[in-house]
Amino acid sequence: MPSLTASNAAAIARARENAVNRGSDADEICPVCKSSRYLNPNMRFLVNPECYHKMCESCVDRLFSQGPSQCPVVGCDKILRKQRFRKQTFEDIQVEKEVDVRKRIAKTFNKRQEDFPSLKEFNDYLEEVETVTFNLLNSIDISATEAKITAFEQSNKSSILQNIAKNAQEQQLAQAQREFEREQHRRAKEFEDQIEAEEKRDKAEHKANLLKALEADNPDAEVAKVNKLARKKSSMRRENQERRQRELEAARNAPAFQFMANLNRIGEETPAKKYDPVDGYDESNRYFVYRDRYENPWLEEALKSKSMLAGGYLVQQYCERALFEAFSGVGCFIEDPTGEEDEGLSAPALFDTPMADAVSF
Amino acid sequence: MAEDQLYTTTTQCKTWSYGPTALATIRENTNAAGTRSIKRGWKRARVEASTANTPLATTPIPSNTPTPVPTPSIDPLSVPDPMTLTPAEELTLVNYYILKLLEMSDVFSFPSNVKSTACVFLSRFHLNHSVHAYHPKLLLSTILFLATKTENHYIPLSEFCKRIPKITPEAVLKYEFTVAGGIRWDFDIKQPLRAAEGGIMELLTALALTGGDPGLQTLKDKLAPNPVRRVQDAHGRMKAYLTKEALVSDVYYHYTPPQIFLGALWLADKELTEAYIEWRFGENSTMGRVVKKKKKDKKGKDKAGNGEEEEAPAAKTLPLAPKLIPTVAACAEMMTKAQEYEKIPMDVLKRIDKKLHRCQNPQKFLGAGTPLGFGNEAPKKPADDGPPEKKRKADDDLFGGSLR
Repeated sequence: MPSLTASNAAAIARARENAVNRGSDADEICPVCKSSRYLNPNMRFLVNPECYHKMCESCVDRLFSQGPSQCPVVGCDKILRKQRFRKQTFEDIQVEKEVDVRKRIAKTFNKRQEDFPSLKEFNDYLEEVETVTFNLLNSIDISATEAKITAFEQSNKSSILQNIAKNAQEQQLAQAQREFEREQHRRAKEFEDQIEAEEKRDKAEHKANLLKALEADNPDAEVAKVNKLARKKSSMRRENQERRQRELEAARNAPAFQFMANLNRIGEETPAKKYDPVDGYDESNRYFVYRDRYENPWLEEALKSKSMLAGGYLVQQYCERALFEAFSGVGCFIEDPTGEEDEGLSAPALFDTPMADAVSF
Repeated sequence: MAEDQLYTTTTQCKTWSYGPTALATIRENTNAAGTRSIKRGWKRARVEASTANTPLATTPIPSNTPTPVPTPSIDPLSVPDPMTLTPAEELTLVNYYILKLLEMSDVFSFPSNVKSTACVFLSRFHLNHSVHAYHPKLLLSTILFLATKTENHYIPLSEFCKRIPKITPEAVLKYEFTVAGGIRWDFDIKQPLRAAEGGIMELLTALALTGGDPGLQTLKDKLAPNPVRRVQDAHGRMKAYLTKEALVSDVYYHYTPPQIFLGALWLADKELTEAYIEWRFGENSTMGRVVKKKKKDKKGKDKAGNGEEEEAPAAKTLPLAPKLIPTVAACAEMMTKAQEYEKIPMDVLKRIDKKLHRCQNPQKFLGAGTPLGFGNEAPKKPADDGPPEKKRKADDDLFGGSLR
């Protein structure tokens, strides 16, 4: 039994591979006229979104040129029109169908989250839309579902139109932004290429001049002259480049669209502050400086005791800490707060175990 | 300003520092809240007593202490409301228990930092929690044990309980959460103890120096004939003040640790403290920086470390001494006043405690009702489960509740 199963599996795998390599059988023979691709290599299959039955181009021509007619597949009584036939995009007809249904549903049910008071309502709406889609796909309660969709369409006509307009606008903006960025890239690239070419040309020129100078009567003076010329030229070129770079930068930062201007303005309002990990604190002390050693008979012992030192006890550290504490806060004088501040201080509600809990049962 | 700046970021400065008026207001509010809850409890007990006080229900309420058995003739409505404690009485009681806490930690011979932390915990806890609701005697062992943990002075709980009569580990741990919440989880107490050590160290080291600092020379002259001896004597006395008077009084709320230690030093030796402050914070003070002579010091002692570059920045700002001296004097004054708490006669304390006992136990005087206050157990209200629970469930559901 196991061996049988194994050979079965192998056969299935092989069949699948074949199907992938040269298309499945269904792709080879038209289900309506039974003509095969072998005889007609240019055969194309079309489907109609009415019933999604597949047939070859010649069948479509033959059956529907005279006008709308019934689907030739046995048991299908849909009336099909020739103009609605199209090429199949997905191999799986179910996927094809689902994409169509979703496209249609999305056109009608185009509400956004901001149209709802809370996330929960929005989620409920999405779930309902999903149910409608599922029903359409699996032919459950088709008439009821269709009625529902029509009713929704009728009652939300204006908001649907609004949302469509909004979507279109957003897409336009995104498109414009993309276009703008692409243009910027192109310019930057052009600029770099130009710089490179100029540099190359100057180099070649310089070399030629140099050779010419060496041929002259007084090579040293000539060479110096040529070098000077080259330096001057290169500095001029650099200046030129910088100017153009600036121009380019300015063009990039120019508010090409209104939303771009907004983006830039937000950036200006909150300039990134330099991050300070210690929040402005430095190690300098105002009231004292650490000395190297301090008079303390207790610490003398600690300095000598091996057991203390082996444990990692640092006398210096103790001294620093004690000294710091001796002066930390001398200059803070605690006084009664003035005005509204003391309300926050005396509010018992701030505490973790409020009074009332303990006494009133 | 680094030192002061850092101190202002501590919780001790941010949440536990009050001026005298603010502190008094908080104490009054706390007392008012405690009084209100006692009144409520008595009102309830009165209602219970008047309904239950039929001739059949006159059996005495069982309690561990012998109490006057309410006779049937007592009319619960005729018993007046108990006198509640005033804020001053509450403070007296708390301070008495702080002294008790000191005695208790002496039993263990805990170091002074554990002692101080425990006392500050108790004081802070009762700043916002009336003794009407939380009797301090119930919290002592909990607070002391919490302080050992906070100050890293480990002692096993079983060991801890062995040394105090009539106490179990459960009783110690039972209130720990309450206490920790009551002090707002601010366990770190900035104490003046290490600050005091630092200050004395600085003073002694400076006295040993032979330098050209004119301020130091005046200090030495003032402390003549034997400056070192004098500082050491003052040191010992100062420590005594820091571990008792400073803890019983309100100085932890009103002053910063260096000020408290200077206050204690003031009590120990007024002249010394004045001279010290004048030297460190007076006009022309070098703040301990070594005045550099331009050439010679180059390779010698780098005593001043990094401080050497900025030479005496104190000259730019106002000297601190004129403001600091009155502050320290006031701090010392406050600590002196605290000594009176030790002298409060026992019968005054007993009277206060009796009053509190009457407040907390309406059942003994009315014949019915439940004891009030935190330590006295009472049945808990069952949790109120209802529609909110259902709603929460719907919210927790991954895809939300079912559609309406």
